Amino acid sequence: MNMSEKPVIAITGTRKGIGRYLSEVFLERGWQVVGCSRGASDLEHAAYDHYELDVSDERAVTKMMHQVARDHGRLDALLNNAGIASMNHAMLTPGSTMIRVFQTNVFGTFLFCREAAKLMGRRKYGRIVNFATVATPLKLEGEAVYAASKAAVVSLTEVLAREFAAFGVTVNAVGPTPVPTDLVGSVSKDKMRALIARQAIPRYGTMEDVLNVCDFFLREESEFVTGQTLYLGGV
Amino acid sequence: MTQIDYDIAFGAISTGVDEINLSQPEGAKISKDPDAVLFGEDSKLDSVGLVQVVMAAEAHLAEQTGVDVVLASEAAMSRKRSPYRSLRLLAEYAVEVATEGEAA
Repeated sequence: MNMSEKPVIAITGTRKGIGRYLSEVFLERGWQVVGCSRGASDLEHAAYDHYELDVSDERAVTKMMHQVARDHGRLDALLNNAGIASMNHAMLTPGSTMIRVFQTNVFGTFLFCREAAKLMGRRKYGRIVNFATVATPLKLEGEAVYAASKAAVVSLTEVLAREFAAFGVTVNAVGPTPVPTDLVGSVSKDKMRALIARQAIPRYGTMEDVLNVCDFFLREESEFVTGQTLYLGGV
Repeated sequence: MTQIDYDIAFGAISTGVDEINLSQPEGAKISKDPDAVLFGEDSKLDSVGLVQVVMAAEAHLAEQTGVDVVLASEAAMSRKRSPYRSLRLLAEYAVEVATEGEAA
């Protein structure tokens, strides 16, 4: 098995938004980036591999991570960024929405954590960052399904942190406030203003804010930090 | 891509066990007898050790055959049905999982 000299990071949901931004940052820093999304990516870089897959497809995720092992021989970090939201009154939300949101946000996160930890565990080193949301602690009306799915991500983060500790793998989560991306694009401005007013620091989050937390969790010196969810904006 | 049969599966799993045994102290090495207890009563392996064996087995199967199998099982903790009770059962389970994968 060839071992890449560069550190290797897997990022889910890299076609656009925060995932795309994080991919570009780590490429600039000289990392090997392995990304995925349901569609093709126009990100072209010698150190970027793209996989078209649904993160809740167990077979596809396994295949991707085994290919990462064959191509690069290591995985240093995973950013479980892929996610979908649903903003609707619970009484108007079909069951199919709940299945779709949980498949991507919860099942996808779990499958990537599991397969990444296997690869990381072979070198007894790894950093996993999952993506939570302030919608969970703020208990936002209209986001029952989304908030519940991310509550499950927090719970997974806490338990996996304990299970993966023996393999040198830390598992943490970042809880962004709304960042102006497609994910919040469909929410009315009034609702968004009301939400942001509940933060200690009432402003939109930025992609740099999210990167800053990821960087902290990814540092080698953060080996004693695991099972934590860090919410932005003072939530 | 190579089709996985019992001998190929057992060979890949044995290689995984050899790898784990390199870091096991004397007296705690995992037996390669296909019918020795791997995980369960009287086993030298704790759950972390079992995960290491399964991880190594999956990796060697993928490396040697190009077939990506996941040896996760709901029955892991079952005394009667666990595919982790012995190396033989684990190899048979790998063949079963790989065959299901081909059919899908």
